[in-house]
Order: sequence, then C-alpha cells, then structure tokens
Amino acid sequence: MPPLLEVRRLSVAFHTREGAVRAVSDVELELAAGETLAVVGESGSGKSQMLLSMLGLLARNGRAEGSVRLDGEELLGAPEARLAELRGAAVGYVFQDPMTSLNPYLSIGTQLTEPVRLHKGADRATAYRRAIEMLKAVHIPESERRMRQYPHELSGGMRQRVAIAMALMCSPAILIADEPTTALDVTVQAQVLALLREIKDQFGTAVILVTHDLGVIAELADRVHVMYAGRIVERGSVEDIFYRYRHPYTAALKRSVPSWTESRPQRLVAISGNPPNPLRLPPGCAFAPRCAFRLEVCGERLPVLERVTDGHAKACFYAGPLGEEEG
Amino acid sequence: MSAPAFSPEAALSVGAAAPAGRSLWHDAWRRLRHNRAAMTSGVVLGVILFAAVVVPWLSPYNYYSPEWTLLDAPPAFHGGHVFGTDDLGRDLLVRIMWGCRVSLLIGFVASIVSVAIGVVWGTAAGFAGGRVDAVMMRAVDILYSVPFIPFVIVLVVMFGRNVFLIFVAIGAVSWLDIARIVRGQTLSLRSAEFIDAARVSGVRPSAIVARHLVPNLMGIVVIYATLTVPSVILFEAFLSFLGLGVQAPMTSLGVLVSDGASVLRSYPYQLFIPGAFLATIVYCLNDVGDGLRDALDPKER
Amino acid sequence: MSEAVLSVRDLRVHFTLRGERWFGPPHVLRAVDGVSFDLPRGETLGVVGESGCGKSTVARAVLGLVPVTAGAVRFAGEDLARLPPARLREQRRHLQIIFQDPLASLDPRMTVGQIITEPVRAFLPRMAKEERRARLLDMMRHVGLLPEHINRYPHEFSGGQAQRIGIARALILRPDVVICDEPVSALDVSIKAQIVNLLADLQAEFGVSLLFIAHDLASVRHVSHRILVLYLGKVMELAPWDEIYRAPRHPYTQALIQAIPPADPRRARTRPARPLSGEPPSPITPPSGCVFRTRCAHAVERCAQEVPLLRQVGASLVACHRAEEIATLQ
Repeated sequence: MPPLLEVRRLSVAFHTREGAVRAVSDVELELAAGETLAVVGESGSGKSQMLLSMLGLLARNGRAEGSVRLDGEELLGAPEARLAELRGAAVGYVFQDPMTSLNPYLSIGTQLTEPVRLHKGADRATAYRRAIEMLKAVHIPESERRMRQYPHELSGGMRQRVAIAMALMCSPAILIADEPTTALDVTVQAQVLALLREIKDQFGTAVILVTHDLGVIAELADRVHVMYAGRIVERGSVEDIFYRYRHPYTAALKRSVPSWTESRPQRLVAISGNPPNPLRLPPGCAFAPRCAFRLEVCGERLPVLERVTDGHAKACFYAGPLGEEEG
Repeated sequence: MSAPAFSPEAALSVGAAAPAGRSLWHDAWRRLRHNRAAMTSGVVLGVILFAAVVVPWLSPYNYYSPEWTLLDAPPAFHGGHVFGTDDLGRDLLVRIMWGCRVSLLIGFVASIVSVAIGVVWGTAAGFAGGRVDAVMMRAVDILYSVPFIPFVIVLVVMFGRNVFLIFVAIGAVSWLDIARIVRGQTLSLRSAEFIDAARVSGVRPSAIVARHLVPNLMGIVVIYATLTVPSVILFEAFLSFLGLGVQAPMTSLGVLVSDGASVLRSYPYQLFIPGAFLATIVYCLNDVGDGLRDALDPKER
Repeated sequence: MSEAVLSVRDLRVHFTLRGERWFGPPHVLRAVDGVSFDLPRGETLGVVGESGCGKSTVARAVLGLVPVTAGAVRFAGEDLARLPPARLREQRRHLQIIFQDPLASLDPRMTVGQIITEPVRAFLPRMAKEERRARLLDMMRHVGLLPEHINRYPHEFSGGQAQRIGIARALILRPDVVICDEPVSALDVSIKAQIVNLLADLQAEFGVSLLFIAHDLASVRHVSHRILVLYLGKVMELAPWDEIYRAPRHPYTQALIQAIPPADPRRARTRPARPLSGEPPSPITPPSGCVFRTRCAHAVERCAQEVPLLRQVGASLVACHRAEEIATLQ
C-alpha cells in the first residue's frame, strides 16, 4: 500500500542578506495511514521549516525543493488555491502556543466552525453540531457555553484542546502537531497526551509529531526521525530509537534527559558545545564538533543514511559501541 | 576548577583586543543603507544642506540688499541671477538658500528642544507611574487642547516678532506628542525583565532610567524626531504665511512661499522655486524618517 | 543540614484587583498564601509547582521586587520584607537572581562586559577599572564564556550562552543566595544539562545557596537537596530529594510524578494513564480548606472544612489530613 505521505529529497533554503541558509537538506520520510511519526530535534534542526514547507507556508524568501506527495498528489509547487483547500481539510495543524494560534478576537465557536464551513460548505447548524461533537471528543465540559467564550477566558490546557478540536474538524487524514505540549504545565501535558492517544485510537488519524521531548515521543510515536542541522541523522521504530540507537546524537539526547527513576547520578550527561549556526555549517557531519566519537572522516565527508536493520537507518561513520545501552 | 587568575594588565589588554560586537545600531545602520529611497533622500538633503551653507558664502549677492535695476527678474542661468530676483531685486538663489538655512535650523533646533522636553517628561511619567503619571499626562492633555494659533498670536503681540519666539512657540507644542509616545514605551519597558535584573543588581532608580530605559527608547525617539522636523518646518512656513514668522529682511521658505504666492500670476517662479525646495526638504525628511522606522523596527532583528 | 542563610516564614503576597462591578468589593489574588522554608548555606532548595502556584512570586517577594503582604523574609539577621528601600538595596548584593528567559533579562543595548559588571559598578563603584576587568574575565571563564565575547551584544548569542551571561552577572559579587527562576525552561534539551551542571559546579565552588524554581519535578531532581512543592500559593510538601521520589506523600506530588512521561516506550505503553483531572482553581477564589481538594482523588469532608497544616510524616513535611493513610506510589 503506498504511503499516505511521501517526502523525497526535501530541501529548504532561505535567501538572506548574509547568504543562503539551508534549513533542511535532503529529508526523506514516509507516513502510513493511522501511523504516528515523531520528528525529534532542537532549535536549528529545521523541523518546523520542514513542516511549513510541506504545506506551502514558508516565508517569502524560502525555497523548497524535492517532492512531497500526499496520496499521490504533489504538494510542492502546487497552486496556492489547491494548497488552501488541503490545509485544514486534509491536513490539520496544531501549533505550539495556543494563545497565539487562536484568534483572540473571535469566539471559540466562530473559530471552530470556520474550517468545516469553508472546506465542506457546511451550513451553520451542521457546523455547530460538529463543533460541539469535537469539543466533547476533546473532553471539554459545558461545550455549549464554551462555544460563546473567547480564548483568553480559557486556561492554557483548554485552549490547546480547542486547537486540537479545530484541527480535527474536517476529519483530516493527517494531523501535524508542532510541539503541542511544550507550553503546557506538566499535569496538563499529561492530559493532552492522553487525549492525543485517544484521538489516534478513535479516529485513526495519522500524526506527525514534532517535539524535542523524548517522553512525549515514547508515549505516542510509532516511528521516529531524529533531525540535526536540517538532516535526518537516524530513523527507525520507536523501540529502535530508544533501545537500539546507533547515532551519537541520539545517544546524547537520551542521556541528557533527566530521568527520575534511577538513583541520582552525580551529573547529567551534557552535550558539549552549541547547536550549529545554519549559516556556517561545518563541512562533513554537522554534529562532529560536539561528538564524543568523532573520527577524522567525519570532518571531511557527509555521512548518508545507511540501513542498520529493516526500517532502522543511521547517518554516521562511527560503528562502535555508544556507551551503555538498554536491552 | 582552578586556573591562573588574570593579572590586571593582561586583563586590560584582552579587553582592548576583543572584537567589537554587532550592536543593534550597527544592524539598523546596515538595514538603512540598503533602503534606497531613504539613502537617496538622505543624499538629496545633504546636497541641499551643503548648498544652503556654501552658496551664500560664494555668491556675490546677499539676501537683503535691494537692486533697483533688476526688480522681478526671471531666472537666468547665464545671467547673474540663477533663480531670478524678487520684487526688491534681491537675488532669489541666495534668499532661497538663506530660507533653507532658517527653515532647517528652526526645524532641527525646535525638534531637538521638544524631543528633549518630551523625553524627560515622558520617562518621568512612565517610570513613576501611579498618581504622578496621571497628573503629568493630564497636564499634557490640557496643553493639547490649547488652541495653537491664538496662542502664537498672543505671544507675538506680547513679545514682538523674532526668531526665538518661533522656537518657543513651536517647541511648546511639539513636545506633547513625543511625551505621550515616550511614556507609552517607558510603561512597556518598565516591566521588561532586564529592568528587574538591573534593580536586583543594585542599580539605583535614576541610573536605571538613564542607563537602561533611555538607550532603549532612543530608537523610537529618533524616528519621531525625524518625523517632527518636517512638520515643524511646515508649521513655521504656515506661521510665516500668516505673517507671524521671521522678521524681514530675514527670510524663511515659508516667507518666500508667502511672498511668491502674492505674485503668482505675474511671476510664478517666485512661488514655485522656493515651493519646490520646501516640498523636497519635507519629502526627503519623511522618507528618511520612514527608513529609520523600518531599520530600527525590532521585529526585523 | 547546615545553618539557614535564608529563612522565610508564613510569606503572603496578595494582590488587590478591581472588583467586577463598579463599586463592588475588590478581588484579592492570593498569589502566595503562607509559605515557609529554610534555605541552608551551600544547599539547593528546589521549588516546584505549575502555573499560578506562586513560585515566581515567592522569588520576587524574597528579592523585594513585589511588596510582601505578610510574613517574614529573614536574611543576615534582618527581615528583608520590612527594610527601607535604601537598606534593601544594600542587601541585594547578597541575593541575586537568574531569570527564565535569558535574552529578555539582558539589556539589548549593553555589551556582555557591561552587563556582567553592572552589579560591581553599582555596589563597588570605587573599584579600579583593571581590577573590575580582571574579575569580569575570571567570572566569564568560570561560566564558560570566552574573553572575546566581552564586547558582543546579547542577541548575538544562543539561549544557552545568554543564560551563562546571566549566571555570570548573578555571581560576580559572590552572593550568598541565588534564586534561579526556571533557568532552563526556555533552553533546548541538550543545553539544559550543561546549564544545570554549571550551576551545580558553581555551587560547589562558591558555596552559594540556590533556590531553584521549576515547573516539573524532573528538572530539579539533579540539583536539589530538598524540594518544596507549591500549589495555589501554599506548600503541599517539603522533603529531601530522595524522599520525594521514593515516597511522595502528598497526592499532588504523586500526581506530578505520575505526570512525567517516562522516556521509555515500553513503560509508557504499559503504565496506566491516570492523569490528574481538572484545572487549577482560580487564586482569587480558592477552595475552602485544602486548596487541592477539588482535584484530589482522596478528598473527604474534612478536607473542605479544615486547612491542613504542614506536619512531619516520616522524613517529609506534608500538608494533608490523610497523608498516613494514602498509599505511596510504587
């Protein structure tokens, strides 16, 4: 069965006065229906730009190359009208900060019904019913009262639920969630994660989850892509990435996350150095300057993704042990 | 962690050798340089300014001596008077250059004075907050409602006509806008974290205002100052048009325009040439002000 | 536990807001409502709570950045909450702060060198330029900044480096206490660990006491000697770090621990999903009795009638009527 979303050799560059900035280089990914794919990366990894380019939402000085096929249809270079049709209808988007992604001047009801009235031509009554349905699906109590309220009257967690409901209004095949829980409190985050899991099970939506939080990935993802400096450095199933990782960056990420189960180690294992400046990427592997296992070839040639096992690939010249591994 | 402590001499030399960073002003200047409209306007202004300073020096004519044989002479590039003469035979080129001098001088000095007053008033009100702020801004509101022309007329009647009066009159009004804007900025800056950080670092309130608030306000102040200058120049022109401006034989662009307007039918050049200079100066100042606003806009960072 | 360098007793910070109706009674926002703790010399107290729990307000109240409604903040034999402004300013030399958003806390128009030495210029104005410069370079070295950064501006740095600048500024006068207001929340995952390690190293070297504020337990785990859990302006639990994780006694603490998604797919899929329901109530109209009772699975009638006091249960101080009965999480 062909994948729902197929991305091949996607590159995104921005033309600034200081030169060309390659935000994303040669990214390949596939998303099957109903699957949850996580993209891990920190600032400067290019993960957000990758998403925006898929939907034609890049800033004016950005250029995307490659191929992005949704259900066989090429999105890159597609006319704006077609992309506008797809946004919201075939692909839902949940942003990181619900305070800014919801319009403070429009009521919840107006914002919720807008997608379905726009894309499916639903009349007001049908749209209203659907909105109430979605509010219930995201467990917002007193849905009717909420419809008349404004974003600032709701708490952060509730706003994010509304944002999720809004993204799901047209029953999209794909839901893109860009750091959906980062701006939320821990207990609220747990609620929203549980909700996302429920949505996944209930609606069968495929999800692209972009985050830097490994805990969130462990909860929700089926497969994981690790990005660094605009490239995918490792990809595999969630178990491959957590238990059988092969890239030093993945290893370092795992170990710098404070875990609370074991007895406290003396220090957190930090990754030395800083994330790379996209304007001045080093030749060869972008992670090499910070890598504890770097070899000479790493500074000279760019490693490409190579198969480790079925479905698990890494882009790294180093093949030795990475320190303690879990079974 | 032990490492050799730095000796004071080594310390100083390191500091001197450290590369200078890219300050925000530097960034803004770079952005401004790329704004062709603003740079062109800046150059035009520079040329006019240069001419206004140099031409009266070089010209054989002055702005006040009548020349009875050449009244209302039309512009003649190869004759003596490039822009012609006015109804008293005075060379228009020199008079226009003097007019530019006076208009620009009034424009800049009055703006500087009103900016200075406005910044002090606005930061004090914004920083003090509470009742002090309310009182100070009510004063601004009250002054705003004073009808301006009658006010200037009263001043002229009391003190006679002189250039100083123009300064006072214009300065007394223009500072109000700046005060409001600066107060608004101060209010929003006051809750910025680096202000809290300065308080915790032990900086006294007066030093916080001087060292932290004012430099961060300068961006917006510069923008408004450059936009105040053209409006001041136009206002002076208006006053001169009403006969409340500079004393003859001293002239300003406004006086020239006013004089030229009365002989428009017969000698149109006496209106259009000074008018063109006035319009160009005002336009260029606005362009530069716009360019500055774009360059200093923090969102562009 | 060594002697307390900072002692907070029954701290209350209430803000008066305009009432809803024109002449109606004003609302009182109880941001901090009875918080007490000791901060021993050279140790770290982690303060954990979610939005609206008052942790940032506690930090600001201790430093005198917001007015204290009631209670005492004892430092070096004086009550900071009752000091006249001039005297408070003098004491600021010994109490510093590191902010959450590194770039917002640095004046964008000043160079790194100027920012870090500002406290020196404020408190030691007579210090010679060379000596000040030497101190600056020494401090920069300690936090991992290079000498050539002296003349750069904050916006030229990444988040992690900007936070180092803030840390250097806070420590240049060797204060006794540094309040860290969510110092790593805004930083990337790989940088968080660097900064947390740096703070731990600097504490070991300079003997400074840290008040480490965070919104989740995982962040404080590696630096804190003891941990204080706040909810709606009140203390729920105060315990040594290992006790909090091994045997959390307050239902809210248990919920906080429960909420942390483990970075382990197998455990994530198999553990029961029992997230805490509901939202924190408004601090303007807190629930009667125990403020946590509206979300607590173990609430009984007594919880609505009587405010639980902080009392010793095992090695922890807990504010819960039923602390002994509630089984701790495995």
